[in-house]
Amino acid sequence: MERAAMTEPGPDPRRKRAIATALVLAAFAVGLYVYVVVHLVSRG
Amino acid sequence: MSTVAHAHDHAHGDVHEHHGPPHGLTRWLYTTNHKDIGTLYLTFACIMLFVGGTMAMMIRAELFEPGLQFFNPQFFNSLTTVHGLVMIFGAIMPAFVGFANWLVPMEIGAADMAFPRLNNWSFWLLVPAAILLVGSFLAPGGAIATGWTLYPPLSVQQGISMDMTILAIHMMGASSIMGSINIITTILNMRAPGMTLMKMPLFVWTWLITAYLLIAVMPVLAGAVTMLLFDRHFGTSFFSAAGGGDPTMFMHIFWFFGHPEVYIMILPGFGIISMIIPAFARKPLFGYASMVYATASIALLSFIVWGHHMFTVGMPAAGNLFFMYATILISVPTGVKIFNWISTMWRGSMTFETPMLFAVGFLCLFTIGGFSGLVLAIAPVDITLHNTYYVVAHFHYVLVSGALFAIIGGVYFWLPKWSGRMYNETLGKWHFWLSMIGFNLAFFPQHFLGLAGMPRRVPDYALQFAEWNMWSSIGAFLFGASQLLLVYNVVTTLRSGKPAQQKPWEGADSLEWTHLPTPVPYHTFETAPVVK
Repeated sequence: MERAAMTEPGPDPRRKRAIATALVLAAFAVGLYVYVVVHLVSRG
Repeated sequence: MSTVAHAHDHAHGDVHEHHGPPHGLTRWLYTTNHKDIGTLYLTFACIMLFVGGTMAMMIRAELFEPGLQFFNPQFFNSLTTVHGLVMIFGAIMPAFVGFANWLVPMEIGAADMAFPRLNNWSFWLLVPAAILLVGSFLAPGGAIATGWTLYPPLSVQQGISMDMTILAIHMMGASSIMGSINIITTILNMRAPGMTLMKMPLFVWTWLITAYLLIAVMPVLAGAVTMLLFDRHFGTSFFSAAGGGDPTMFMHIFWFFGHPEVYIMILPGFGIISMIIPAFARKPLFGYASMVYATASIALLSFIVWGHHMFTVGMPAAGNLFFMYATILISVPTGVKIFNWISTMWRGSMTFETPMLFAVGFLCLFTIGGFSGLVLAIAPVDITLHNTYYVVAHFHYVLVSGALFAIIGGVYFWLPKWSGRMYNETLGKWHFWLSMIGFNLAFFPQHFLGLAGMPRRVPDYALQFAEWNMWSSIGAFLFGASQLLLVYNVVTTLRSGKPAQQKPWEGADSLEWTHLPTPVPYHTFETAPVVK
């Protein structure tokens, strides 16, 4: 946890966790978008 | 609030002088530095504020007296529509993202945002989106004239400018979602050792909650406008009653996005005010934990109140009642925040420099906007006031004296830290008082106009509304012109302001004040501070 910048070369222990957080959030956003569209398609 | 165990970072600026920013255009095009990107966002927001403000001046010029003076009704409606979209998506939201970029890493003790390249991409997506949106005035048929709500069937019938707007909304939505992912990831993963969630400055908390709101509602708006695009070009009839579709469905989906959007535009403002008031009251923020929970409560409640924008569409009485009570419920956590700010000031050693003036102005005027919101939340009252100028007065009290005053107060508050120079205090106070007088003169009479029945989105009106409209226009011109003082003050500060102290505000206690030199060096917290 003493390292601060994930942009610096070399492994950073927080990098994997940060990428996992971002992927979960992105999946939620894309999933929500698809849900809205598909829900409307099913009504149409 | 957190305290810092050891301030070892003061010399960082000197140590890393050789590691400063590149020069020229490429610095701004390719930058991945959170401070540079924050500056880009704030500059962009300022430009869009004046673009949207020019449209507002044109609207008020047309409404200065009854009859058509300058514009035809179609163009007038385009002005009101694009004014709203530009101010929301171009000015207020990017300004708060600019604050987030500048402040979130510094206030949690991180070196930068978690994904600096994504950060750059988030900003540069905004520029073509803004060009599409404003440039749609030049498209055949002119810009869209649907109102910012884009209700069908009108939005299905508009010209190519609607497609430009839909593309712009998609791009701005993608930018917001990427920015939010970056902010959440940064806050959850990059806090300095000892910086627990409940030690974070309230500005960081409000942005964390706002970012979740953005991720939860932006895809919904994107879905709705995608369907609109399909109705326009691919023969579907999702929102067309003639084809078996349902225009009311669009309204439900739009306002499921639209109401949380209101809180997206105000919660970071709450955060800024929560930083300013303790600094100038020289007291810790009263009820820190309750402020966090109140912010989260407001965000959660914002998902179940969208129907209050639709009391007149013919929902069942039970539906109207539900949305009415849910909306009224929001006043509880909002009241908690207002009382906490007042309690923070109570018996504080207060001074009234420009940021504090804007914070107190925010407090007074936002409360008025909140109360008129309560009036509109009452379904039978709203049925009378719906689509009148009372609504226009209400949301301008919330969003101008709320969001914009917080942004301006924040600019004055952090400008010494960002630039290393002090602004002109006298000019700042002139700016505040002219804004305060101009704003109230512009928007308070609109309550009277609305109560008297003047509809919104009309370029002409009956003679009995003439006098208050004239005063409203005079106030708007004063308010608009007084914003030039802000630009002048900021530019002269950057060029020739007196050097600022390390901590010009005695009561400020977050990491950027206690732990970093003024101006902040290009790279900060490469070694994380330890917070106790």
